[in-house]
Amino acid sequence: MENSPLKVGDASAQESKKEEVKELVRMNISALQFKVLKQWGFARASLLTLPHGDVRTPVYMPVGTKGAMKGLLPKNMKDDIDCEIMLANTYHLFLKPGEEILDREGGLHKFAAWDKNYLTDSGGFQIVSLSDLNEVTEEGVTFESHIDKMKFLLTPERSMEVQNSIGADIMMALDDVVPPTITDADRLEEAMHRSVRWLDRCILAHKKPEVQNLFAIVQGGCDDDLRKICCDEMIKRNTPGYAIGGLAGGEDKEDFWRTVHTCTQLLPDDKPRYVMGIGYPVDILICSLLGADMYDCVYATRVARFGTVFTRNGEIKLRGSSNKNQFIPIDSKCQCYTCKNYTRSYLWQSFTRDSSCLQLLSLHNVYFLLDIIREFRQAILDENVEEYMTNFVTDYYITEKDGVPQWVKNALKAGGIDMS
Amino acid sequence: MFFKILTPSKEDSSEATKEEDSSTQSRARLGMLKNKIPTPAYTFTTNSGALPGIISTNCPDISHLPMQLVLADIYHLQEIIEEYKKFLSESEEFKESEEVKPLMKYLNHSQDTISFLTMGIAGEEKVNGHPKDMRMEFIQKDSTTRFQNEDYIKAVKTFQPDLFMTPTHSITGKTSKKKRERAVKASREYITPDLVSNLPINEKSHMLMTISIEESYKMISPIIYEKIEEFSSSISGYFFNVDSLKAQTRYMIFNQFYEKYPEDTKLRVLESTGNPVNVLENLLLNGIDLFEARYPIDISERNLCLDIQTQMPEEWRNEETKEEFTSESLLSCVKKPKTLDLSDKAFRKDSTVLTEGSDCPATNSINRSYIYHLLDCNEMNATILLTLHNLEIYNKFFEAIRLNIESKNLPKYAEWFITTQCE
Repeated sequence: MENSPLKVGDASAQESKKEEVKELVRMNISALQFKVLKQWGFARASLLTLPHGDVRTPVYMPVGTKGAMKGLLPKNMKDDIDCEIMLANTYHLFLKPGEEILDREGGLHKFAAWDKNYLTDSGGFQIVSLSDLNEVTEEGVTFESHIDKMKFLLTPERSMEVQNSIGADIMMALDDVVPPTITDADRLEEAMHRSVRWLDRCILAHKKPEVQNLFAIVQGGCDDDLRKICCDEMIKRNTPGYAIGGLAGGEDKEDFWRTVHTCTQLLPDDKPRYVMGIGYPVDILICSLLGADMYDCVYATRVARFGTVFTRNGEIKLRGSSNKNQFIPIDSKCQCYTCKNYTRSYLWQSFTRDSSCLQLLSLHNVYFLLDIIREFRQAILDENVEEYMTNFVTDYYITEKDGVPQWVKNALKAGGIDMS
Repeated sequence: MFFKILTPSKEDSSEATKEEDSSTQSRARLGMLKNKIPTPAYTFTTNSGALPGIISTNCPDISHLPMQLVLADIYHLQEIIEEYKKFLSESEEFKESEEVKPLMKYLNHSQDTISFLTMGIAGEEKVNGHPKDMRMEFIQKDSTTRFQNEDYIKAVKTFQPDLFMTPTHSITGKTSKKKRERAVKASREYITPDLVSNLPINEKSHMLMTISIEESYKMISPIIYEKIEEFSSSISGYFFNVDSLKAQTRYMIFNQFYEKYPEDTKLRVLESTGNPVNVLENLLLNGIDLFEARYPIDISERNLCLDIQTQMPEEWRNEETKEEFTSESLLSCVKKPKTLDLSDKAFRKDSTVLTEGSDCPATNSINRSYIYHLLDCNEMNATILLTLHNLEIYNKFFEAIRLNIESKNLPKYAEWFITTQCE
């Protein structure tokens, strides 16, 4: 990656940039429409219209890291799972196949033969999590590629360039990512403010706002005051949508849901809200109850490759010998291809014998998450959210000694459902 | 009827003449297996009962193919299938149905296709205790399983395949001569009246007699002919375990066989890799109906995609056969079908669609550059897509073979294929 120098210390240049940002904000260019069809408490059933089609929200977005879902083809995502939007990682795609190939092929949609929607992250999170060496300055993030140790500088401008080449329907601003468990309050605040400044640079650098939507990412750890400041600033930038970042990093569950709730109360009602890195079934539903609309996580496919699958009674490990003569599907209510055609017994014995089993488990897990989030959406439309959520969490934790965890009950209560 | 011949080979039909031009010689014939599967065809070799590395929702056009289930890697399923049968018999949906094949249902293979139970994985099993206490050993993923004839009978009764073979020990060109000789003798000695009378041979389940030949023998043993005569009414066809032989030897063996049985109408199955050149050789010269074939899977696992046409252009039909090409040319042919190694950097910027004119929704928008990218990233989807592409081409190859047998053009087709589609 090349450097894209910005004289951050130059006051008049900064003032000029701010005016440019304000002008762009006033123009209010957006490549999406977001329509709330019905609301129950804070939860919304909505329709998000993007350049590559409609997306029913709330929605879980499966992650196809390098332009492919592991073991699942575009045909599976479309026909077997009915997925409307997927994630791709800018960091990985920048390294391989690279901008040159993506530009030449006309973007990731054509390259990967996926004709529905994509969302790309900025690359920031992967740099922090994958790269051995990374250093954050006001200019950007310097990192070493985990593949060949070459050094790069990722600036907001370069992130926009790469994401413009990828051509995703939604792009994420480059943010200063710090874990939510960080104890250095100054660093947390610094990261929040920097994320706002980098958002301005992203807005200026974004070349295709009429076909690609730039989402801002709210930071601030689990500090409500910082989150409020960040939300206020980002709302002023009037981006087509907003993400709640910096969570799902080991923080306490009470802090997790409370932070989501704080942010959803502050963010505009007429724009989609995306909680980044969330992929546990209950977490997705809780966040939706509290007013969020979009989620992503590699968890579903990652655990599938270790033989762990989702059911409405919690996760099960298919590798256990208790599954040997279980001639039932993974989940009795699931209508995915795997559950309609294969038994737990088959999957148990096939797991160590053929890679097709991994595909079947991944397909089930991704389908499951999309299925429950659509059930929740339908519950909003049918006005029986309370019944749905109560039944779901009761069944999900039925094998747990202590039943439904307290944090879940607390989150449900905040969302208008009392399970005490 | 289990196996019906629709179009006999030239040699079997009244068209055969002694002065037959060797360039047009063809033993290939058209048939129909269990009223469902047109032959010549290939069996889809499963891996522990699964389609190797792919799921059937991505490849609907293999549902008509016989599923080859390898005993060595599904042996562990016996106990499970017995339990599964009890489960089905207690299930409201299935308890009245006699038509459901439990193993095929368990594995999610079409009930309409044929299950073909073969023995082991060449090189991964052995015969021990020969000759007095002869037993086979399967080396499985997590155990070594020993079995004798009674175990085999039990396995066939449990799995209820549509087609199975008499027990044998697979041999390859790399198997030592001593082991090959032992295996060949063992495969003959396994076939006893006790074995045959206890195997479930009926209108739903058919037995192939395994004919194993060792290169140095260069002939079919009289013992094999005796066995064929003795068990003729129980045999629905033959499994020729002759892949390790040189092509010339193989041809000689089949000549001996057809001299002995000129009017043979039973099913002929060949142990093989399924390489298209090898398929053409064995169709034209040896009259095979059904081929074992891991070829499309094997080349996919080596990052190769078939780069061939399967339809012979019209102008080729009328062209004079080149002097140097005869059906027997295939005996010494060292050419292979054209393939591309998509892990080669040359394909990094190649936007050519993987499968031109493909009907397969999984591959018809994928290009070579994307496959290169997936291979470069070690993504499993690369092998999946290559397998689907290679299967589609391979299926079209067999369709073309059947059409050309019907139009009596197979020798010409073989000439065209070898000349233009191989290197």
